[in-house]
Amino acid sequence: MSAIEGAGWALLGLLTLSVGALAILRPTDPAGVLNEIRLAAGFDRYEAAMDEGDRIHSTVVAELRRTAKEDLEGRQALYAMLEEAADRYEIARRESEGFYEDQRAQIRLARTYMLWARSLHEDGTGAWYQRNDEETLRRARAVVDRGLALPDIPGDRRVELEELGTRIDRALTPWPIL
Amino acid sequence: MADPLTERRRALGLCLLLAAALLVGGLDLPARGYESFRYAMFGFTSGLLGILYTFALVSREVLWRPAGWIGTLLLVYWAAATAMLFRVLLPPPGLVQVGLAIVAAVGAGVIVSRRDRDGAVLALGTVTVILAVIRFALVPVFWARSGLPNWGPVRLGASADAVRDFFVAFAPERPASQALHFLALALWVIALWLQWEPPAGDARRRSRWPAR
Repeated sequence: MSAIEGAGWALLGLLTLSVGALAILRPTDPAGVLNEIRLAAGFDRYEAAMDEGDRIHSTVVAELRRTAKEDLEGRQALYAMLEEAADRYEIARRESEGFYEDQRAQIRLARTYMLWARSLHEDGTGAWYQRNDEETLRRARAVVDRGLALPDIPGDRRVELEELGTRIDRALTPWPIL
Repeated sequence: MADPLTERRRALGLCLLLAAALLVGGLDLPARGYESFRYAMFGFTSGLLGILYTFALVSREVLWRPAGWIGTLLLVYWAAATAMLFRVLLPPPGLVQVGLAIVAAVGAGVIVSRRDRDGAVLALGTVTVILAVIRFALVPVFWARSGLPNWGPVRLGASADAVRDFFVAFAPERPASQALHFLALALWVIALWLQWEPPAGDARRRSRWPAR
């Protein structure tokens, strides 16, 4: 077998593997593919995880603007993406070297939890004549609690999370006036 | 007797083209949503049609099949690339896809009934054009013009969406998507063209294959 033929067989294997990988992993963005390769290869895992978390977070921000409140399936898919973003930031926290890097990841994580909880709060509260969706509101409260459990987030972010938590608690209480 | 080395290299070249067609044909570029691109493997219907057409084309000796493991490998790539060809050409799921899948299956029968290779390829081309016209010309127009507005509490838009999804669950794609899908078809056709003449000394070469 000549060198060119060997290269041809190698290329065929690579093409076939690419097809299999694309079909199984189902990537949706070239930047995401690059970040996941960096994460898997162990090359600058902290920055790769932060970049991937930022990419997913900004995608969700853009998508939430154009997804109707009634589109429950679409919104659930976006919440799954926020969970993915949070996972990436958790990876970044584990890979961080020193307080500054850890805090940077925590700030992004708190931002993701804030967006997630705020959207769930919007989903769970309807018009004044409609009953609030308590299950969704409890999920929102759990997400807020995850944000508040982060030890090193700045004070203003903590206050925002606490205020949102209070609003959720009020929405969960059947008779807030009592 | 054909030279095994030449046969193997020729088969490798064909496999490379078919694998490239498989890779490019699966790429979709959605016009809506957050996805920059999406890779969609062929489904059950397209897979079955791929196997059916590969069988029909091999039985009419349109596809060259060398002896041994290399022939089997080549057949697998032909079937997969042909299935991807049908994924590209068939419209999304719905009643329209059912009709066209039946047309395509009947087309395989027509191919088998042809006596010469040219006729078989012409029948395949006819099926391809019918599917392409409906998939790329008729379905987008039907989908774009069959929507209804919501009139306050009367949600005609949602009802119209449900009705047209029954016919075809169309998802618009960016124009570059068509170029990618055309490239996949072109790679498939180049592979077909490159193996049109069987290698000299091939045992399966028949007198009814006139040299061009």
